[in-house]
Parts: sequence; C-alpha cells; structure tokens
Amino acid sequence: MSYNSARGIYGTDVHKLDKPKIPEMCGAAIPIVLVGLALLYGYYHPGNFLAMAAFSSVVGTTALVGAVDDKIGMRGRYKPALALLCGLPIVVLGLLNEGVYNPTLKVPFFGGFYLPLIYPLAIPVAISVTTNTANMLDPLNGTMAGGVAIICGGLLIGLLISGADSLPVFLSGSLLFSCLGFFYFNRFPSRAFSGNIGQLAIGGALGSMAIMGRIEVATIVAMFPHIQNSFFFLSRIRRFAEHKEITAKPTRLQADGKLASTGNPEAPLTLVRTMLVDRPASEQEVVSSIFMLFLFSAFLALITVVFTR
Amino acid sequence: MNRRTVAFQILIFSIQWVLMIVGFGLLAEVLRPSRLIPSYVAYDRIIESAAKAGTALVMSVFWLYVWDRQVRLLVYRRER
Repeated sequence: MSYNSARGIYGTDVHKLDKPKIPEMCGAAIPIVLVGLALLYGYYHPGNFLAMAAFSSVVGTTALVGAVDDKIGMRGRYKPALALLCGLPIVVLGLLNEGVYNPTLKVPFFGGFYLPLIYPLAIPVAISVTTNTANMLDPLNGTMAGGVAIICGGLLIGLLISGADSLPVFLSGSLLFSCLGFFYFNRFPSRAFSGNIGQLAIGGALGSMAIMGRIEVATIVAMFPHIQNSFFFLSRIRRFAEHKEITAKPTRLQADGKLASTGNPEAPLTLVRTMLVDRPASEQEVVSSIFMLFLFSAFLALITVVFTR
Repeated sequence: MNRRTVAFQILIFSIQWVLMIVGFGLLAEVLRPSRLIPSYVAYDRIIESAAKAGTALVMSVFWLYVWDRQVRLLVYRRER
C-alpha cells in the first residue's frame, strides 16, 4: 500500500460522496502469496511439484495480464482472449504428468464422465471464464476478496468432511487465507484496492483449484453469484466490455450517500443492481446482501463436494 | 440487507442447483448409455460423442435460460 501510494498508483472510490483516492493494485500481494505457498508445497511434496508449477504459472500469468491491464487499460475483449492462453500451462504440464489434471469430470450422485478430448480443450475456457467473472464482481469494497474467501471456506469444509487429498485442501486453504488477509485492508471503508492484477489472479487460482483439486462442479455451484453477475452483464451488453466503456450505468450514488438503481433499461442487470431493485441502500447493506448469497452458494457447494466424493 | 431480494435469490440458486443435479442425472442415466448413431455409419463414435456433447451444451443453455427467466420474473418486475 505504501509502495503504491509513494508511486501515485491510486484509484477513486466512486461509491463514496467525497470520492477518496485509494492505493490501487494492492491485490498483487495475493498472487505473490499464492505462488510462494504453492512452490513451498511443491518442494515438500515432490509428487505434486508439476501440479504446483502449473498452478503457479496460471496465477502468475493471469496476474501479469491484470498488471498490464492496470497499467495500459486493455479493451474488454482482450482479457478473455489472453486468459485463454493462461490456462495452457495446465494442459501442457498435464501431458507430461497425469497428476496435474484428471479428464474424468466427477459429478454429485452420478459418478463421473470420462472426457479425454473435451476436458483438456475446456481447461483454457474454464480459466478464462473464472478469471473474467472474478474480475467483473468487485464493484464494492470487499466484495471480491470476501466473496472468494466465503467460497473457499465452504469448499474447504466440504473437502475436510469428505476426507479429500491434501492437494485440494491446500489449494482451497491457501486461497482462503490469502483472500482473508487482503479482505482486512479491502473491506469497507477500503484502504487498498485489488486492481485487475489481484482480481484476475484470484480468478485464475479459482479455476486452477477447481481443475487440479477435482472440484469442478462444486466450484461452479460456489460461483453462482459470479455466474449470475457475468451472465446478466453479457446478456444485456452482448460483448466483452470494461465498466468504463459502458455508458448506461446500472447504479448511481444519491446525495445521501446511498446507492440506487438507475432503472435504465439499457444498463446491465448486475448483482449490485439486483440488490437495489426495491429501494436504495448503503454500500455496506449491498455488500452484506451479496455476502449472504455467497454464504448460501458456498453451503450448496459444500453439499456438492460431500456428495461428489 | 435486502431480505426480500436475497430470499428470492436463494430460491433461484436452490432451483438452479436442483436442475443441475437433475441434468447430470439425465446425462449419466439416460444419455450416456443410449446409442444415438448406428454403428454402420462412418466415424460413428466421433459423431456419437459430438452429438452427446451437443446435447449437454443445449441443456446448459436451457439451464441459463431458466435462470434468466426467474431473475427477471421474481426480481426485476419490482424495479422502480
């Protein structure tokens, strides 16, 4: 935070009346912690070293794409395209070692589907989707870090109940605690913004965790709030676009400091707008509502993990 | 917290979760064991796999369509 402040790396908190300047790109701490922990885990568990190398590569490259976006501001369609490439380390290292991913998609109650061709092809798409959907759901103080921490908490409990291997437990645990650490500074009122560097890295880590931890379906369930936010954004805008490229805004800040829906039929139906349908609300109220949705989706994910094993 | 909208959203998530499980059940119990392409057709296994993958994709699109309708019906009809 102090490093970025000293170099003038600031963002504006647009949902506050006084529009404070907050240090930006502080989410860089998350990929640094995740990669460091993954390499340590790989060192002490040599059998999983390639899996950890793949995880670190995905987190590192998605963070790099985010850093470039923070610095030069890429157009909306470039991020999904570059994130596709970020998923390639899992596919390539998976060809060298079968411990990196398993092409059998395990589903709750009904066993699994062996997908030797489709599964590796779907990996880059999955990384691109999780990366960009995490990037899209960080509109208010603490929503991304808190939401992902809740998701990982649910998945971790499910994995521990079902007696999972150490790899998925490590992946969900490291993501949980790195997000919690960042949430301390990012929660309302924010003292640090994640920036695209943190958002994309967290999304990449979520996707990698789902694939390498063999909790794909449970992760999809845990990410229901993300899916809804991204789906309704894309269904209205019909293209990949940055928030700053959108002229029809879904919400506005009132004179009393509360957020309200604009009611603009052209604006995307984001999750924040959904929480403001009935009445205006404070930023903290909206964040609490979104966290409640994450808690419920994490509960469903926990059940899914237990019945998948 | 917006209790009413959160309650509707929890209902929608629950329905989507049940639909997802039912979908996996249909794929595993009905689609997987069935034979869609006769064995005398050239490249029958590849076409068979593609047809089954396509069916799963159509089911996914339907799943998202149901989600879309629920949010618009339960939440956005009350927007002021």
